[in-house]
Amino acid sequence: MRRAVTLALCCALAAGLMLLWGFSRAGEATPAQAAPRTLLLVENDTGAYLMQLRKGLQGAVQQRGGTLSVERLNGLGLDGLPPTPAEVDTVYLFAPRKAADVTAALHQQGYPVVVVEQSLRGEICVLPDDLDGGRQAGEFVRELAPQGPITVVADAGNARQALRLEGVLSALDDVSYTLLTPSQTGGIDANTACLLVLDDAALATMAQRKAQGLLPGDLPLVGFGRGEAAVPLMEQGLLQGLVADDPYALGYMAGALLDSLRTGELKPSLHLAPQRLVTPDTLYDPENVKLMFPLLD
Amino acid sequence: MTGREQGGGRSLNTVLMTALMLIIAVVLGFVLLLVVPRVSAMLRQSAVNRTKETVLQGVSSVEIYVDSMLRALHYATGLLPPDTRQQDTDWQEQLAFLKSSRSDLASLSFFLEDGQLSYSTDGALRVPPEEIRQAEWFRSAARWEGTVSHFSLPHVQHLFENQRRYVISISRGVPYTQDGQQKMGVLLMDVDYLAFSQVANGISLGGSGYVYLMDTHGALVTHPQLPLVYSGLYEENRAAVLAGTVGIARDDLRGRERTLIAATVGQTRWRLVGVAYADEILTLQSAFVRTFTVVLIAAILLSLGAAGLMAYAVTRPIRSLEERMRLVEAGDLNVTIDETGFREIRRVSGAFNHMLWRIRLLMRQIVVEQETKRLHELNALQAQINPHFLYNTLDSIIWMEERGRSKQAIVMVSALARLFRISISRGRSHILVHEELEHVRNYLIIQQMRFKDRFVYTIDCEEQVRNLRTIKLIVQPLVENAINHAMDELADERLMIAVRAWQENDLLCFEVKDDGVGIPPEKQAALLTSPAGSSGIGLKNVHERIQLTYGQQYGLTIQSQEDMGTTVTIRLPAHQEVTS
Repeated sequence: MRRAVTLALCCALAAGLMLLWGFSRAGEATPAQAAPRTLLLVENDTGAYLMQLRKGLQGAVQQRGGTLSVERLNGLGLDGLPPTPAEVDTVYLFAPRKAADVTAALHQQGYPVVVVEQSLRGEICVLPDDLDGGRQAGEFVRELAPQGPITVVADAGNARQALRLEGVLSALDDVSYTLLTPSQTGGIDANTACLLVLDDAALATMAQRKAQGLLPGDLPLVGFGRGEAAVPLMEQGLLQGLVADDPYALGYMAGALLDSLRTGELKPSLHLAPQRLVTPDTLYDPENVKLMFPLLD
Repeated sequence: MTGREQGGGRSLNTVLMTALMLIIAVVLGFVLLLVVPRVSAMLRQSAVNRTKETVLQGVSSVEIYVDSMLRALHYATGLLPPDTRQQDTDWQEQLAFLKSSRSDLASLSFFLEDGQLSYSTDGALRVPPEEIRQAEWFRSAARWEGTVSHFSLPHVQHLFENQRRYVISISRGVPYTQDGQQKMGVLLMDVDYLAFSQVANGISLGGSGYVYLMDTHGALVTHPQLPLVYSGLYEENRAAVLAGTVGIARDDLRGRERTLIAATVGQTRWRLVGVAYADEILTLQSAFVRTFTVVLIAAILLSLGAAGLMAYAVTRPIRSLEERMRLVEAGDLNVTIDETGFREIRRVSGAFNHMLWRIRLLMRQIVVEQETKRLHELNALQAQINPHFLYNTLDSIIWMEERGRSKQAIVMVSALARLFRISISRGRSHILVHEELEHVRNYLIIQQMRFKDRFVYTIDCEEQVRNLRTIKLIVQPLVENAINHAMDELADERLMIAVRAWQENDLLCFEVKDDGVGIPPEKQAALLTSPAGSSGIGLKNVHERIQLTYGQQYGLTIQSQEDMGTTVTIRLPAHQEVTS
C-alpha cells in the first residue's frame, strides 16, 4: 500500500513540476540574454566615411538587439569616459593616428577593444583587404597597359601600402614596373604606360598634375582611396580607376564579431573587409553608390 | 512441489501496472503521432498563410505607390505641349509645381526624340544628347511609344549639372509634333530612392523578417541590406524566387530556416519577396509542440501513478487472500477471509472460507472416528482380558492339574498364551487372516476343553486369503456369540460351528455358521446395536470397528432362522500384506 501511494504521489508531484516548468517557459520569448552594449570611439565624428562605417556597425549591433553609442577621444585621457568598462561589451576604436596608444590605455582600464581600419599586433582588428585590393588594381592596370611599363607610387613603410603593393605585384606577373615613393613622383618616366598610386594622399596630387598638364592627359591613373573624393576626378576623366574602401562593410563586419566576442571565442586576429575597383563606366552602378556617393543615402 | 516452492514468477501487480502503462502509452503515443503532426502542420500553414497575406499586402502597398507615381507621370504627360512650336511655357511651371508638390519627386524632364533636353526641373544637362539617346531608359521608353512605362534600377542620376541624386527613374514615350512631323519624345521622372525604399522596407515580417524587391533578371531594387549584398557579405537566394510568380520556397541560409514568399508587383513586373524566419513565424507551432509535449509527459507521469494505484487496488484483495492462504498453509485453519472487494474476489474468498470450514469439520470427524476406533479396540482388548473368561480358563487348568491331566493343561495354557499373544499382536490393529483364524482356533480349543466337546468346529481358509490383512479380533466375538447362544439353549445336541475365510471378488469374507436355534428376528436387529453383554465384545463392536476402519459399505450381516441356525458374515476389502 505504502509503495503504491508513494509511487502515485511521486508521479503526481513530477507531473505537477513538469506542468509548472512547461507553462512558465511558455511565456518566455527567447532565452534571456543581455542586449550587447557597444561604444564607437573616434578621433573625429564627422565625415562621410565615418558616417557609413557607423551605419554598418549600427546595423550589425541592432541585428543582435544591442545598442551603439559614439564618443570622441579627448587625448589619451580616458577618465570620465561615459560608459565604464562594466557598462560596455565592446569598444570599437576608429583612431588611425593614435590606435596603438589608445588601445593600450583602454586595455589598462579593462575595456575589450576591436580596432577598426588598423592592424595592431596582438589585437582584434577589422580593416580593408588591401592585399586583395592591390591584386584588383594590378589586374586592372595590366589590362590598361599589358606591355607596361607601370609606375607604382607607394610608401613601403606604410603597412597598408605595403600590402597593396604585395597584391599589385602578385597580379602584374611579368609586366615591367618602376616603384617610386611619393616624394619621388617628380621623376615619373615619360614612357610610363600607366600610373598606379597606392598612397591615398598622393593620388589627388597626381590627378591635379594631370589637370595641370604636368602629366600626360591620356596617362591612365589608378589609385586607392575613399570614393567620395574620387567622383569629380573620374567625371573629369583624370582618374581611370579607384580601389575604394567599403566603410559600411567594414563597420558591419566589426559589429558581426559581437557574437564571438561575447562568448570569449575570439582571439587577436585580423578580419578583412572587401574593397572594390570602381571605374568611370561603373561609377553610377547601383553597387557602387554607397562607395562613391555615401551622402546620397 | 510444495506451496512454498511456488513463490516464483511475475507479480500480478507488476503485470497489471505494466499492462495499464503500455495501454496508456500506446494511446498517448497514437495521439502524439496523429494529432501533433497534423496540428503542427496546420499551425505552420496558418503562419505561412499569414506571412503570405502580409506579403500580398506589401505588394498592394508598393502597387499603390507605383500607381501614384504613374498617375503623376501621366498627369505630367498631359501637361506637355503637343507641338514644340508652342511658345506657352505654362506647362513648364506646372511641371515644376508638380515636382514641388511631392517630396519624393526628384526631377521631371522632357527629352526630344534626338536626345535634346526640352525642359527639366533640374536645370541644364551635363551630358551630350548622344549619351541620352544611348541610355536604356530613353531607348525603352521610346520603343514602347507611350504604352508602357520603363522602370529603372536604383542609380545615381548624373545627367544634370551640379545634381547627384539617388533615384529610380520612370520614363515614358510621349508623342509630339515638330515641324509637322510626328515624333516620340521621352518624359523622365526621377523618384527619390529613399522614399521608394521606405515603402518596401517598412513591411514587417516578424523580428528578423524583411522584404525586398527585385526585377525579372534578379537585380535588386530594394533590400534592407543592399550595401552588404553588393559587398558580398550578404547572400540572397534569388534563384529560388525567379522560378515562379506567386510562390513559397524554403531555404536555410546561414543556418536558420527561412520561408520565401514571392509575388509580382503589377505594372513594374518586379518581384516582392518576403523573407520570414521560421523560428519567428512559427512561435505558435513551437509553443503548441512544447506545450503538448509537456502535457503529454505530465499525463504519462500521472497515468503511471494512477496505474500503480489501480493495480494495487485490484490486487490488494488477492494479496490478502494469498496472505491468509499462507497462514492456512502454515497450519492455522481458523483463518477467516474477509469477503470484500470485487464480485469475483468475494466469490473466491467465500469459497475458500467454506473450504476451510469443510476441512475443519472433516478433521473433527476424523478425530472422532479415530477416537471411536481406538475405544473399540480398547474395548476389544479389554474383552479379551475378561476376568470371567480368564478365571474360568485358569480354573479349568487347575482342575486339570489336580486330576493329573497335565497334557491337557499344557494344551490349554498354550492355547491361552497364543490367544493373548495374538490379541495383543504387539499393538498392531491389523493382522493377517491366518493369525486371526489362529486366534479363533485357540479360543475354540479352550472353550472346547471347558465345555467338554459339546460343540465341534471347523476352520477353513482359502490359501489365497491367508496373507491378506484384516483388523484383529473380529471373528472370535462371532464364535463366542455362537457358543454362548448354543450353550444357553441346547442341552443335549452338539453344536456345529463352521468358520470360513475366502475371497469374493475384491472382498475378504469371514463366515461363522452354526446350526443352533437361530436368532428371533426381533433380536437380530438389536445384535448390531446393543452393547456387548457379559459374553464379550459384542457384534456391535465388531460391526462398528469394521465400518470405522473400512467404511459403511463393509461390516457384518446376520442371517438366522429359528431352529435352523445362524450365519454371520463379515465382509472387508481384500488388502494384501505389505511386504517391506
